[in-house]
Amino acid sequence: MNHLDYVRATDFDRAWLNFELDLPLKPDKNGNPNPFYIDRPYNPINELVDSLMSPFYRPPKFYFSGHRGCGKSTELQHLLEDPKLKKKYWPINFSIREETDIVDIDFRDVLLAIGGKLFREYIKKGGELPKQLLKELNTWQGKVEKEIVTILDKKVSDLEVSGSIAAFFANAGVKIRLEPATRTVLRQVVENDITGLISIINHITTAIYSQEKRIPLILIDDLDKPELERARAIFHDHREIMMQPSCTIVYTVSSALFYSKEFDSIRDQALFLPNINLHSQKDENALNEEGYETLRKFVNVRMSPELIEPEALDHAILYSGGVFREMTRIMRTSIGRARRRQATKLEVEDIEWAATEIRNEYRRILTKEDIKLLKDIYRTKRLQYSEQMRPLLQLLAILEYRTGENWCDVHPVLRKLLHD
Amino acid sequence: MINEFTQEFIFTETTDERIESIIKEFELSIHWNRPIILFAVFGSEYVRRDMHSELENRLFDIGQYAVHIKMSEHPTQSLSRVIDEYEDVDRSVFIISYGNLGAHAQNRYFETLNDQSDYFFKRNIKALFWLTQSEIISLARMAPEFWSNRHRVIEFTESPKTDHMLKRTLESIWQGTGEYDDQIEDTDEKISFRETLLTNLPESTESNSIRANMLLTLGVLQWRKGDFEKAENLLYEALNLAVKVDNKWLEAECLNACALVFSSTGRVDRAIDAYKQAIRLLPDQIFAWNNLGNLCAKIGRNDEAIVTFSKAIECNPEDSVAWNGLGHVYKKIGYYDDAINAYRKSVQFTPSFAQPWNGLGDVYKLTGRVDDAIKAYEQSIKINENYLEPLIGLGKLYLEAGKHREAIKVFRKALIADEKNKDTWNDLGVAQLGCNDFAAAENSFLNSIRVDRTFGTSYNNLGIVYTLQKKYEKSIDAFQKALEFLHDEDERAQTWNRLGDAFRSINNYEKAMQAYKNADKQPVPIQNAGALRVMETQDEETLPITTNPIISESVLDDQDKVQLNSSENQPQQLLSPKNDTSDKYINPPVWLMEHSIDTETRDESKNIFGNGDEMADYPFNTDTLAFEQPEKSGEEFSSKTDAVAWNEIGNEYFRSNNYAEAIIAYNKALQKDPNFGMPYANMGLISVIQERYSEAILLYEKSIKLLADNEEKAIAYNGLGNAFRAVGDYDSAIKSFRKAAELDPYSAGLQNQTNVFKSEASVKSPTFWADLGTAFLDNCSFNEAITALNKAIELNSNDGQVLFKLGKAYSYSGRYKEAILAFSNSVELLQDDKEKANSLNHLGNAYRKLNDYDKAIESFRKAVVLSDEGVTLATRARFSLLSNCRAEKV
Repeated sequence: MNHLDYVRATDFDRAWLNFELDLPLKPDKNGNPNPFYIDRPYNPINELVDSLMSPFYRPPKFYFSGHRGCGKSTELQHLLEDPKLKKKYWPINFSIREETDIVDIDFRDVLLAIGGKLFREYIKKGGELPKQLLKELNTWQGKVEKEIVTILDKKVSDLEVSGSIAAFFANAGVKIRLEPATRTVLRQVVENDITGLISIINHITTAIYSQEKRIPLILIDDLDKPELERARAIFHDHREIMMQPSCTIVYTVSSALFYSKEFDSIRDQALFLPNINLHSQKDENALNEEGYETLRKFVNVRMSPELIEPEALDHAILYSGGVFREMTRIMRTSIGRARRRQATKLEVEDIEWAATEIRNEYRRILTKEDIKLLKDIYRTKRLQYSEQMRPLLQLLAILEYRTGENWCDVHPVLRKLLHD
Repeated sequence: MINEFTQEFIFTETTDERIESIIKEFELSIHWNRPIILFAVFGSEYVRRDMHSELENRLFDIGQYAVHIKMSEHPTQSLSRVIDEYEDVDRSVFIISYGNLGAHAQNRYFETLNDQSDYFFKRNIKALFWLTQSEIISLARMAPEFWSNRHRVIEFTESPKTDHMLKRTLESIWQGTGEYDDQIEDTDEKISFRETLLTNLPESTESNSIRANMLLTLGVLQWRKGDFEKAENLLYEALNLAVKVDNKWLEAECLNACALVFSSTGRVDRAIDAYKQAIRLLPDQIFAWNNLGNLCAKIGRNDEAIVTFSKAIECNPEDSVAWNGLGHVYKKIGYYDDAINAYRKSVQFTPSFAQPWNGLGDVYKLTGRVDDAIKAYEQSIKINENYLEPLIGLGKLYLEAGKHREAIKVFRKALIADEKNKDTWNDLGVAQLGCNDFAAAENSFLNSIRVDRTFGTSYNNLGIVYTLQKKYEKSIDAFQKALEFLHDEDERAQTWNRLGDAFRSINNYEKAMQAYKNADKQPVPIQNAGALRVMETQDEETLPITTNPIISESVLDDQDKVQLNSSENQPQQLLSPKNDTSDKYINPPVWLMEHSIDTETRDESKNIFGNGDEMADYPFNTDTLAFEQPEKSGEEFSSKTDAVAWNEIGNEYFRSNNYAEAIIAYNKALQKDPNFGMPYANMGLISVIQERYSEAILLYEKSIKLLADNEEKAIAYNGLGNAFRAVGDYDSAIKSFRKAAELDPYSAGLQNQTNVFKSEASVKSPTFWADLGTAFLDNCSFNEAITALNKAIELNSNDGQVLFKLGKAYSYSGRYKEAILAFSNSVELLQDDKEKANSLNHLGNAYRKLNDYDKAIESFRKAVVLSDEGVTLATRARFSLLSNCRAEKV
């Protein structure tokens, strides 16, 4: 049985599977959207497509942001298979987690990851780089390795015996991810010749472009995961360097960075994927039918409407706060309960049960000060990236919205907590 | 659309429902082969332990192994690295706990965890994290990414049951914290009341002293409840205040209480330091001495424990806790007289103290003073009826004494005190089995397994219950399950044997042999092989359990186990009572296919027989006796020429392990009637016992030829099968067992209860095969001799004597060409000239039989040359004969 065959569930067992957190929604081989993919109202990704399709003098760099759990990865995967883009670009998509340690990441790691991934993916897809380029790459590789060996006081390193540039890039990724000592040395060497590394990336880009007649487009996921300070060091302090690769790149960035002052100067190249608005900022009783409809669709493509009472579905949507991942969590927890009580339909009670469980999870981890802040947020709906608010945003105790201006609200399951 | 939370829902879930919900989540994740991350929050270590074992069982039921990873045991590894060490990820659910890592290390772990969600998803990991209330906060803050990938958070924050607290608190007697055993009830209410008092205390320096006291009490209450994290925080706060108000007594009490928390969380060194600090503050107070003594005893630092308790006694010679502690240490190190004295002192000063009575019971039991032990245990139980240890001690005592009904009563009481004790359920089952109550025993063993699905001992005993009821399919399942979980080699060997017997009982000889082979691979002697004869006609409490149910030992500490393992310290009559055997069992069998188990070689620690086990030695149905009781003296029968009677005399000698006399008697029986098959079979049995398997095989074969009755023949075939099995000739064993089954479809000759000893050495020994071949040769069984001698040659091709015998066997069976080859080879290998000459003579004869006279003459000539004695008459005769032949030919 293909467990990920994206079939709409007609029973709770399959429904449980379909509401898995982080279920990868890759388009099919022909580029058709994943059956579980749903478009959202005013999808900002269309803006990104338009921007990418626009003519440019210099391959553009875009910053793609959004709230935790709002579907960034899904949208990037969807973007990757866009037929229009594929005509213009030679696109690749990867998670920075696979290439480096995001806890201790810096701009050199990102560049090395870009070069390595570009090289490896091209070879993997059957591409052949010109011999001269390979020769030059090997020279650069030899130089880097030699310096590493010198700094490491001639200790044996895996990098010494990597043998080829492909192996070097593969090994470099592993080293950066796993070995702090080698990582430090590698960074030091790369920093001494950062232009050398940029040249390498650009040479590979050029070679691919000339052979494929399409500019490489690199979509880097999970770059929104590092801490704000590290993200700031990469995208603000080394902004110029990060713009240097001659390929087109879409960097993901966290919402905290997106809204930071330092980001002001590049925000015009940035795009934000917000949560689904379910009500207006001013009046939580003024419900947004479009938002509700989007989330109903989100549920209905995964599970037959026969399995849920309409009222229960609306309850679930309300509690999700318009965050896809939270919607998934509520649905799955409710399904588990309905299944245990051998029900044939999800009822309001099941949704309430799930909401209670999630509320209790937060009850454990929120401090008195947090509750105080949440009460304040609930009242004002005002978003500010303070030190106290940041962890609550990370934990999704506070959810961000955008309707012209940015505002926020308390996760709906927590409202009862504020009244306790 | 809704915009209001109109309806108020109140959800309550029982613990079982929460466990069920976890299991259902895992079931689905297994069904869809998807990853899952669950968090379980707990407030009491006691609750966590209970839930953990319940989870393990439930996971086992759905075909998953619970792999418990304690991160405190992997201080330098990330969780993903630790998981990487396990191969069978598909069948594993990882249950992760953090223990007392300390805030810094814990935060570091959680930081690294933040980046590991992908690992969990990519490898389809199924994981449940046990988290304290502070750990889940740290995890959410330090690893928000990982936290946001959680699938569920399930809470187990209820208080432990009072009996759990009591049971566990009693494990370490402690003093000096103002709380005593009888105050263990209503812990939650006590905590709540004190928290309210504390909240209402005015914030001033004047309230510090009161606050410190209140915090101390609360800390101790939380410790009792098992919430060690809270307890530690409260006690630190109390300690700081005690220092502030300069109250040494209070400070010492706080340190004492802190030590309890440290000890409970495995931080022994810190606990000892805390006690020492408390002692420094109040050297004349005994509580810290006693607690330190208890801790030292618990961790095996017995000398220090003795010194510490002695110090406490110096401070107060009438302190019963110190005397009890001293008694416990003396018991552990085997100073029983001193232990008895110390315990007596303890009860003298506090007669209502249950622990020393229990200690006395233990020591009396260890020294064989059964009646005293029973009284002491009973006194301990009388004082505290929930005190588990004396209940279990008493139950085992009754069990070993064969007082199954009493044992059952006591074990039932113990189960009221702790219904989730797998050992007690198992022992109850053994007692019920002793009463022939199969249904109850089955139920008890199943309950034991319910508590721990991996408890091999109870699976084994369950198998025995089924076997005794002839439910062989079920018994096979149970034995196979037992083998999955038993680790002790001796127990495994016995279970393999039982499994083999069960397969034999359903005529599945291939599987039976495979099981026997596995049994024979175990490095310890296998006792009671083939001991699955069900005795159906016995009264209760004399049930002849030929299979030996295994009694649990977990309640005994190491010292006790040492004592039980020692046969000299173990009252034999308790374990295998010989005295109360009913007369009908004393009647000897028609012949002895069975033998008594050698008490010196029996490992009692692994096989403690219940009452009636002595019948395992004589599982024959006495109804088949065809003659009267034999007299003890063989001489009186000499005139009667009664072979049967001599056979019976042999049986009597056999029973008293006097094999030499038994053989003489059996031989006399054969002198009286050379066609009497029984003595041969009985001598075969003796040969098996004495590990003379080749002889046994011959004797059994002889008996088979002579016996007429099919059932009797079946028994002999069964014995023959056992002998073949003992030498590792499994093919022949199967043939024999099959023959037994053909001849006696009802019992397949399984009356036999022959010990089969380790056989690996025998089957690989060329000497064994040479002896067997020689025996066959002497017995004129030439084909068998050829087979055996060839096996000997396979194992050692340089033995000239064996080749010579092989040549003879070939020669006698008319296979002269093969004989010539064997003789020729033997001549090359034999060292002694006389032996060479002998072989050459046989070689010459073989040539002669093939009419190759030249070579025959040459062989004879060589023989003559080698023979010191010159040309023997026989050789001369051969020469002469050969010359004639030649002359005729010419």
